[in-house]
Amino acid sequence: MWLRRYSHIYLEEGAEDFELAQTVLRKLGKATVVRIRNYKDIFARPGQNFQLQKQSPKLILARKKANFIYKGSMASQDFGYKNFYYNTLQLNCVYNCDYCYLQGMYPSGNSVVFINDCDFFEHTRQAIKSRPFPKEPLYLCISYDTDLLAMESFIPYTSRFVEFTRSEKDLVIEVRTKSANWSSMANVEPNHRCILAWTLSPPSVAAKYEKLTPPPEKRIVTINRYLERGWPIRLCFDPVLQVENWEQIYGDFMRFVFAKIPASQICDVSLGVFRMNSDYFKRIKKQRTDSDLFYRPYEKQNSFVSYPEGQRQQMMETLKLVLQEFLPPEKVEVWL
Amino acid sequence: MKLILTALRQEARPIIEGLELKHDPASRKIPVYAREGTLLVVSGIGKLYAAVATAHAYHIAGQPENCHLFNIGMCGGATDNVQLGQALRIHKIWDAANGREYFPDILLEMPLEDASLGTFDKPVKASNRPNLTCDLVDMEASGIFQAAHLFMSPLQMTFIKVVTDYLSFTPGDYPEMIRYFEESAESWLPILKETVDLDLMNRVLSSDQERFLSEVVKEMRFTKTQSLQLMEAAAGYVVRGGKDLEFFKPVLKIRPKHKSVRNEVFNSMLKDLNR
Repeated sequence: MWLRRYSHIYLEEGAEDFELAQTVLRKLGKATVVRIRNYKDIFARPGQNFQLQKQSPKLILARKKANFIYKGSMASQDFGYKNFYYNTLQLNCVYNCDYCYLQGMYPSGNSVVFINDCDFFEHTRQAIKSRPFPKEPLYLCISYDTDLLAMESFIPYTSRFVEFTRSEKDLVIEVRTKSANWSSMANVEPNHRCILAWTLSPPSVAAKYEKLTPPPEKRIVTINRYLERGWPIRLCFDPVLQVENWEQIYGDFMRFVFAKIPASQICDVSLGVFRMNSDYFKRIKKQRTDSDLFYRPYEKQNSFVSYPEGQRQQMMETLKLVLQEFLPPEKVEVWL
Repeated sequence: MKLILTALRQEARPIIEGLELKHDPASRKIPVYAREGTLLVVSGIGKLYAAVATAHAYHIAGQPENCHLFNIGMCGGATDNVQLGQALRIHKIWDAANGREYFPDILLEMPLEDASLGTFDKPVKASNRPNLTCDLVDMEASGIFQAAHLFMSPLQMTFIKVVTDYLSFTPGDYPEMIRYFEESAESWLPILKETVDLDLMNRVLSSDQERFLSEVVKEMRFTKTQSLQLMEAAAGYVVRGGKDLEFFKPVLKIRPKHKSVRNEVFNSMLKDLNR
């Protein structure tokens, strides 16, 4: 019934001049190309339906004109980096996790890919030069509002940023992902300033709440391949959801993970409970009637919706203790 | 509900026959044909008439969130890549008068190729073909899109156009153009019959459950706020896997005569639903 994913590519005027756009068009050669003037004509149309569009998402290739770098959000972890920034190379993700804030942030289920990588590199260089704490590197998260690695086979953004980082000594990047994609990066030399960060959830949680993602077991196999190759790896048990019997489910899963992945080779681990901007939460709840996640008792604090404080603390304390069976406390970053 | 718009009666004919629609005798200025779940409106030529007819169709249909709109009609081919008698699905509509572009969502599989369409206020001459940047030319689609977009999402709209000329024709060619259109019906009529309305309502509660809860609200004389809270809690209960709301039935035997009793009943219901 639904057309295949990326059956159509909307190509913004001028975008075709960029090499990255040509690469995407070549890789997705069967797609119908529709020319548009501005990506917002498609992406920001009123009256769209995020979840239905996710059944057959389209790709929009556009040129980013401003805001190439943003200051890190208070809902995200900075891992001790004082110059904490992120960028938006793509808007929207190939996956469709129930707990994802993108559903409430973007008006469309389609994905925008900004193809002017050279402009992103140039603005990153400027940000490195003008960073507020010059003795520390610029810490840049490049895969926050998307999953770059999952799309690497036809949008090679991760490998390009890895190469760029090699030439910028004061830059550390984080690529957050749920992907099990190894082949597209197999020939890329590891870089100790490019942290690959995997989000992991117990299989039962992933099956229910992380739609379209590869199963956690496959992610673990992929993580080990990257580890063997020498990539710095971060594990993110985030967001932890308060499912029934969560202590045991998450505790057992963490033990399973560290039975498979050598803890000593992991850079660090992040741990966080489910939280979301309250406006996004409201917007998503109106659209999603298939997820019990939006019908749980939450508490609103500082414009974020999450579990009540006591429960949050209990969850984090309990799981932190499990993680400390494998890692020293300084390697566990907790978001509360 | 399916809303179908055509500009001409000749375009409507294969649809009326194929879907067995009946003329609504009350409709005069804007002819309407209908049967349960389907409504066809004949707009007349031009985007203004098309926009008026679209609004009229929505007015009759009532709930736009339950509708899927189809615009089906003849068009001119602005490129040699399209064949006479070929039906195409439109992915971009360009309004030649204001220069704006409109994009219906293309989500569902259909056995048709895609094309872009330009909507003009006047018939386009063949001599202008080399200057056109669209594949097809018509006189209604942008008006329909603009009017429909006031009521509905772009994913509820499907535009299908049949190439009946290459912008060079005389009145003597009309019968052949109509023939092209009618013969193409076998490629698009099944789409009209089979396209399922996309569920935009996102209703958690079934109509029976909603009716039952409304009855509860009425019997218990719940306030507006309590009624909303009850609906929300019931939705949560169902989403979390709750089977039915039958366990409320004994509560209905209580007839609260005082506010405090009513509030007690309300709190107990809420507690049950949030378990």
